[in-house]
Amino acid sequence: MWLGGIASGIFDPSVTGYSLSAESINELEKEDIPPDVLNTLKGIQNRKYSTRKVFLQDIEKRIGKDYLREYKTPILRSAIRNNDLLNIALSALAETIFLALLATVFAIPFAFVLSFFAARNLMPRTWLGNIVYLVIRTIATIFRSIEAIVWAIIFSVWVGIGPFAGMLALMIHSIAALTKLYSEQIENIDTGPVEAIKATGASTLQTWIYAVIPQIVSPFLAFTIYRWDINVRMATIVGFVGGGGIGLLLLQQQQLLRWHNVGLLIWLIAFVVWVMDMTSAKVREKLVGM
Amino acid sequence: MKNIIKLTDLHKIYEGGTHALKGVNLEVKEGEFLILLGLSGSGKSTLLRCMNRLIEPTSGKIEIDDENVITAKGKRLRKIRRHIGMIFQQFNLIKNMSALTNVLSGKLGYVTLWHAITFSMHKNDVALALKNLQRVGLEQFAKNKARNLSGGQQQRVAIARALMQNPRVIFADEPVASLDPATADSVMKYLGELNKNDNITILCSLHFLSLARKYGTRVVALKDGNIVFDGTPKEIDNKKFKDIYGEDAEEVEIR
Repeated sequence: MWLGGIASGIFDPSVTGYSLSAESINELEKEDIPPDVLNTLKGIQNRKYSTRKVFLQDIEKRIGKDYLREYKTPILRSAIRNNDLLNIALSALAETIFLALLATVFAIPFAFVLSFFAARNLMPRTWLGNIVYLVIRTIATIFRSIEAIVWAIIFSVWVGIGPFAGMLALMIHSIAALTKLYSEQIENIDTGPVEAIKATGASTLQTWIYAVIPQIVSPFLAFTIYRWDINVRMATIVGFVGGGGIGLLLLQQQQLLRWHNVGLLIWLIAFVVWVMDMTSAKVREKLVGM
Repeated sequence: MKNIIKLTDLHKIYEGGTHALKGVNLEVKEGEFLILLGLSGSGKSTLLRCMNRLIEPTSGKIEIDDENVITAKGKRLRKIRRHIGMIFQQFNLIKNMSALTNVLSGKLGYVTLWHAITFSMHKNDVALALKNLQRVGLEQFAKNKARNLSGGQQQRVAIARALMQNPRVIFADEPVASLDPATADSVMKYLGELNKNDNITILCSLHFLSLARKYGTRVVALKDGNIVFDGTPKEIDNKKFKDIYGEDAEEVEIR
């Protein structure tokens, strides 16, 4: 039964449409609205309309053009506040996408720098080189093996429930994962140019800039975009444990047993992940072919 | 002529236990075009790379241009390296950068880190790079990405890069092994020109005896990490050839 509800979620006017609830009427009572108009509005309390246009047309028919023109703003305001889950969902979704984006962007510089020190072929086989390599690799592995959802629990206690905690959780996990991916890419580079640049008398840093970085820029970009894609998906789960965004909303609606709303949210998440997947595949194809 | 390179009892033992160089003694005079012959695995590449410490030699002494290469560290080693051009079998260009940038990278030993980070080279250097590209006949390809050039063109870019270093010596590690015979000859011609006109000493490992005879002034042959022949190209007859390459070897002529 509820499964059917989920499937039809997005088409159900109770989820996406307009109506006036008891709370809406209460709010309208505070406004300077004539009692007869208010009574008429009480008459359509809890009646559901699929779109704003239908909603307003029906009210116009009941209270007349002039009254509607006068009280359109408060009516709409109270109606939307009570019922427009789609609006709330869309802003929560935007929050999710942006927190995933921020987590990815903030992870890039850390992972970029760390990856050079976690690449076996760049670290000299001296005791210092070995220690730096081992320490970074080990920490990255530990941080990566702790799932983002666990990080989100830790951070939601630390900085409070909300998108900031979610962002930090995804960032920590992304730094660890990207460090691994980046450094493995560095280990796979053609060593010929490195040797050639070293032979010109270039310093280590110059060699990295000229012989290593040009070889890794496009695979790095491809990995980063893929990571953003992963982060958007993980952000919804992270939201479940207090990481903000659409995950938190989904959890709330699920606990209220509003399966229609849950259905809408799942459809939205699926749609966004699908779009991200398509675009990131396209962009990666372009970059790797570069 | 004075000695520009002097190797004394040079040994290299790799971590796996391979004894690649077994006490090589070699003196190279300024202006020589020295050809290194020998089978794959005879130690040619190891020898060339030990001389500028791309590979750390196990023991022995290396002097290049009166500098002790073995004891050099950090900045001094880099100063020694910047006067030694190096050319590789696989060209070793940075494939997704322009030919010009590749040539300019030869100047890295001379510029500050800041110039390297911002990829902003002095305009004198850019002019010199263009001149060197012109020298190898590639000035119209300056803006082309290295990956879009043919093998012979890439090797000529590599020669221009080595020229940027203002080298006293050029080590060429099988520079023509992955090129067709006609292109191979043209690349060798450029090396020969540098040797004659710029008085750059060249050490070049090869597999083709015909090219060795045409361009070399001296031939040194390695076998199992030992020098087994040292003389002029003309002195290599059939018997010497079989000494170097083994009893079953036949000389393959490329024309």
